[in-house]
Amino acid sequence: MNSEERLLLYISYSFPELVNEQYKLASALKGSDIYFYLTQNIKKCAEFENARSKKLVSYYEGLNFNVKSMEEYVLLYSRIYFLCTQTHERYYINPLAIKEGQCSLKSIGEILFKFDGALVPFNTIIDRNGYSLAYKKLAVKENVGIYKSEMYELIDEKIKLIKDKKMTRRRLNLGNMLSIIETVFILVFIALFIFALCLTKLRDSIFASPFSNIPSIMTFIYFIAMIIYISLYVIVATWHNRLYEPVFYTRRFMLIHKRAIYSLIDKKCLQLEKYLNNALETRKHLRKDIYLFAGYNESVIDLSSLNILQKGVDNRGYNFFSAVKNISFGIMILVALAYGCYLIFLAFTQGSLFA
Amino acid sequence: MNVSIIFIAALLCIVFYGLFASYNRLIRTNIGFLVSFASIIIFYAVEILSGNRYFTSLITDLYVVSPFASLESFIILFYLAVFILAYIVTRLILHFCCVGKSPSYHPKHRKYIHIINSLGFLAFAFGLTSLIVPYFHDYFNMPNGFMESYFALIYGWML
Repeated sequence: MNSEERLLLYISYSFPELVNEQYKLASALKGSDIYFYLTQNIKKCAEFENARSKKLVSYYEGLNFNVKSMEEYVLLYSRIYFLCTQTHERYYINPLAIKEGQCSLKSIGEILFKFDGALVPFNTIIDRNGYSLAYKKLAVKENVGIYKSEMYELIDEKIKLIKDKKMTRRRLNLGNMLSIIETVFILVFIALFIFALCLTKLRDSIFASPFSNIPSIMTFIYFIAMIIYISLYVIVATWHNRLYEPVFYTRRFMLIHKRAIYSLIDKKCLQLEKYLNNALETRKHLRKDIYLFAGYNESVIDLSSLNILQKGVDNRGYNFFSAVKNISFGIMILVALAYGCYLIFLAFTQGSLFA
Repeated sequence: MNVSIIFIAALLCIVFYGLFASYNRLIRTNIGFLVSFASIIIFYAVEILSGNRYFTSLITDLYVVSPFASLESFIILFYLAVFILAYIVTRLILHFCCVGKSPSYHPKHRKYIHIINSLGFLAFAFGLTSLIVPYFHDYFNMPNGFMESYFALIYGWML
C-alpha cells in the first residue's frame, strides 16, 4: 500500500462518512500489474488437475470487487497479493499429477516442501545444515503423503463424477432419444426411396433422364435431400464419437482398472520417496526430473478428458454441424411427408402404384 | 436416376465416416473390412483353384429357391455378415482389454498412421460400394449410367 492509501484507511476509521474512494480504488486494482500477473497465474493454474490448484481457482473466482468500505478494500488488496504469490507453480504442483510439457518448472527440487513450519524448495532442504537426516526424511514422507492423498482424492472425485452422471449405464434422455429416432428415420427414408425407385410403376419415368418429368423431379429432390441429411448425420455422429472417445476410454479404464490405478499411485509414491531420500543422502541437487514420476500420463489415462462430462463439448465446428443436422432432420421429415403424400396422391389418381 | 448416381451419393456418405471418425473406430472398421475382403478372396481362390466351381454353380443354380437372387446378392450378404462379425469381435476385444494408448494421447507418428488409416478406409469404402452397386443393378434391373464400363468390369470379375 502506498502512503495515500494508508491515509485513506486512517480517515475511513476516524471519519467513515467522509470516504467514498474505495469503489475507485477497487476498480483501479483490476488495472494493476499485480492483478495482471494473478490472472496469468490463474489461467495456468486452472490447467492442472490438482486439489490445491482448484482451491486457488475457486478463491480467485470468489474475489469481490464490489467493496463497501475501506476495510473490505484492504482485505481484497491483501487477498490479491497473497493469491499472486501462492499461484506460482512451485506452490501447488503435484509431481504425480502433471502431464508432459505442462509445467514450466524443471525439477522436483524447485517445488516447495513443508519443512520445519515453513515452505522451502527441496533443493534448499538438501543444503540446509542443523537438521538430522532422519528429520529431513520424515518431512519428505509427510510431503509425499500429501501428494498421495491428493491423487486418491482426484481419482475418487472422478469416479464419483462418472457414477453421479449415471454414465455407467446407458439411460434414455433427450439426446439419446433423438439419436434413436434419427437412426430409425434414416432407415424409413431409405426404405421409402427404394420402394419408390424399384417397386412402383413410376420406375420407368424415374429412370428417364433427371428432371425430365414430375415423378423424376420429385424423386430427385427427395434423393438429394436424403443424401445431404445422411451425410450430415454421419459427420456429426462420427465427430461426436471422436470428441468423446477419450471420455469413453477413461470411463472404461476407471471402472475396469480402478485398483490398478491405486496401486500405480502407491508404487509411484514409494519411488518418489526413495528418489528424494537418495538425494538427501548424497546431498546432490535435483535437475530436469519434473516429469519423472507423473503417476498417470496422457498416454495411459487422461483424467482431464472427463471434464467434458461436466462442461460439454466446446468445439465450434461440431456445434455448428450438430445444429445444422438437427434443422435438416426437421426439413427431411417434411420432404419425406411431402413425397409420401405425392405417392399416395398418385396411387389415388392412377388406381394403384404397383405395376 | 441410375446406378452411377446412387454409387457416387453412397460413396459420398461413406467417405464422411473416414474423414471424421476417430483413430480407434477407423482401426476397428478397417479390421472388419480387411477380414471380410480376405474371406471373399479366399472363397474365390478356393473356387478357382479347386477347378469345379462347386459353390458358385450351386448358388447360381438356386436362382429361384435360394434366398439369394444371384451370386452378387450372396457375395454382398456374405461380405456384410463377415464384416459385422469381425467388427463386433474386434470391438469386444478392444473394449475389455482397455489397455494401450489413451485416445487423447497424440504422439507425432500417430497423425501419419491416422492418414494412412483413413486412406485405407476410403479404398475399402470404394470396394464396398463397387460390390453393392452391381447387386442393385442386378436385383432391381436399374440402368448403369455413365459408369457402365466400370460396373461391367466388377460384374465380369464376380462371375
